[in-house]
Amino acid sequence: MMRKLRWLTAGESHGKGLVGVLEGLPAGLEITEDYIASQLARRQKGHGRGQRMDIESDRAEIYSGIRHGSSLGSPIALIIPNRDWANWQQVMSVGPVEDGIEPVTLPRPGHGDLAGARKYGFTDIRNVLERASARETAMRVALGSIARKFLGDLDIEVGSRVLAIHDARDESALPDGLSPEGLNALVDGSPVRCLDKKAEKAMIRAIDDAQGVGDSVGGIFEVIATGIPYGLGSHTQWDLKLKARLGEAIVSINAIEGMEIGLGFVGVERPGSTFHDEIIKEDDPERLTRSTNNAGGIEAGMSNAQPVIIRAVMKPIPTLAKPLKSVDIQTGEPGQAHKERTDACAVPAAAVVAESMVCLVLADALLEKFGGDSMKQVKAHMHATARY
Amino acid sequence: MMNFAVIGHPLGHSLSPALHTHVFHRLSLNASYQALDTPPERLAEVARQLRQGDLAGINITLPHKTAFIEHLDLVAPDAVPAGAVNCVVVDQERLIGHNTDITGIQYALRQAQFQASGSSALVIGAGGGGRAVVAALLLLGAGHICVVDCREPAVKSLLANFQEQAGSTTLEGRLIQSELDTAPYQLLVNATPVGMWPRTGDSPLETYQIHGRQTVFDLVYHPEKTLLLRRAFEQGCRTVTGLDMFIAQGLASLEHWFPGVIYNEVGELNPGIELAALKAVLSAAIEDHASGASTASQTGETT
Repeated sequence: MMRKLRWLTAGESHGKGLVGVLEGLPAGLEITEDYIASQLARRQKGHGRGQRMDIESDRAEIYSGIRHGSSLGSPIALIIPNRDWANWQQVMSVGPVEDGIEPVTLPRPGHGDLAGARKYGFTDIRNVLERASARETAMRVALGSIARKFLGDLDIEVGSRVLAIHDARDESALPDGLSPEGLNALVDGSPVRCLDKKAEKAMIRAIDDAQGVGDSVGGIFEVIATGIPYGLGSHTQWDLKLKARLGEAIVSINAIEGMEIGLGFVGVERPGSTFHDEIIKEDDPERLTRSTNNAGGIEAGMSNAQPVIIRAVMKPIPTLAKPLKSVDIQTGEPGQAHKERTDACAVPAAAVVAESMVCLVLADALLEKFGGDSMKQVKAHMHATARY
Repeated sequence: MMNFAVIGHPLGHSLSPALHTHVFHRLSLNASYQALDTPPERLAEVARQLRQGDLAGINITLPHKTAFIEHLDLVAPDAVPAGAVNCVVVDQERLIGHNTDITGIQYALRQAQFQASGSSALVIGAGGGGRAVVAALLLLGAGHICVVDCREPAVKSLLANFQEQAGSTTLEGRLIQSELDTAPYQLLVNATPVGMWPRTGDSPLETYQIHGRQTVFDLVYHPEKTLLLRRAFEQGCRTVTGLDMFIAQGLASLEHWFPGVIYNEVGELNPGIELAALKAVLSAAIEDHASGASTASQTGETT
């Protein structure tokens, strides 16, 4: 439900590379490949994914839409080449190949293998898994980083932290006055992207324990966005509501099973009288504030000038080191797909992907409200009409 | 450039550099791998090099597989059962020790399509190799494991080590006194150096002790086809060589260092590696060495 921005990703996990196109941003946005790379690197960190290695470090090449470091208003195209393409070019060849490629015929529980093969009538599950792989989220982070730069130039920041991995929880509140970027600066130094050092240890242990026995664990993360004026999204139609747009974006991330806004599910323990955020006068007669932010910055589908706070839960990545039962779609024989080592936890990376999705949604909603063909115009429009 | 190494003392002839260098080359990874003869007093220095990034990761062979643990920040649960590590990963300056011998054994058995779950296995040798085999078989859910060794303390210590983890697997130890009745076992494993070059005319089992339909696994890889495996082949058995295991443990180490690069989402080996070519390189290296000097540890364990 993008209203002003349009964007698509393309690419298979072991294909030539990932492609992304983003259209609808104003001209005059300064952006560099280095900035995009710095965001991609954040996605590649995280305990339980193995250490980041040079071969893996992604770099997006800007193909169009930017000239002399500044956006043109035309579609921005990015390419992240697959550095390992040479080794997979037979298996993933675009043209027909002479040697038959061994098909993947054992669908993995928890993945799209079986449903995708049945849906498209594939006999080789590779045709599904190559695109269903979370590899694709690298391009979302790359495109999201452009939206992040756009928001940053308008003093809107987006950050995240991990709140739980398996049974290890970080109950700490966000320190007062800590900006989302300040938060990121702190947690990006943590292997599990969490604030509390004690919880960090427990989370690392949970991942290690799972990985050691070939298992995997899920978790919960929080995304925070600040600097948002009143009125992104609208109460007037279901598909204009900001929370619906955020929900769609977050739940579209691989393995995300649920999302909450503000106080979320625990709010059910409260009566309405203590749930809702009272409206308080500030010294500045133009400004009103809130006693609390249980609504998570969104009321009736509109931003209310409070920080937007969302949390999402990621299920354990399906693991192949401790395989589940499956049935070969070619032979009909029961079997178990197996892999000696798989990632045990992708929650820290998913939090970064979620930030990127939030950036894209907020940039879209902001352009919808304020519009403008150049950064200068967007800034002028906001200066004239934005209320905080 | 990332630098990897195998450490041991005395190191003797090591196949690991050939394996890893082959993979680095095939996958165009900017990395090197060397054999570092490392006496015990230099282990701390190796740990320091890892933390400083001078070494990106190491394999560990005899006699340091247990001694290196004190230099680690974490022993991964895969290395806990055997109490030995053979692969160290650096994760944000933390040193994490793994045991890929165990994963290598599991992988090699799986490749041979051996149904380990509920099976009954005879493991000859209660040393480090035997321990890794027992750990792997327990993880695979074997029904019954019998370990034989003429050294009583070794058998006792192995049983004590694994009794708690055995769960529903029955684990039994035996001292070889008389002829072994191997008929009840679906898997026969040699985890002793018997049959290793240059004494290639030795075998831990006689032909009559090997029955068709059994799977026979020899940890010795020099020679690649030991007398035991040749006998097993003649009897119509499936065989697993020490080289199969050696390759599997090496690839498991590489997957720790280059996650997602060695295997894809469904566990397929990166086509760039070409297993047959890798095997040929290592077979040739073994042959080359047949006239060499050292006989130190030529089993499928990391060397």
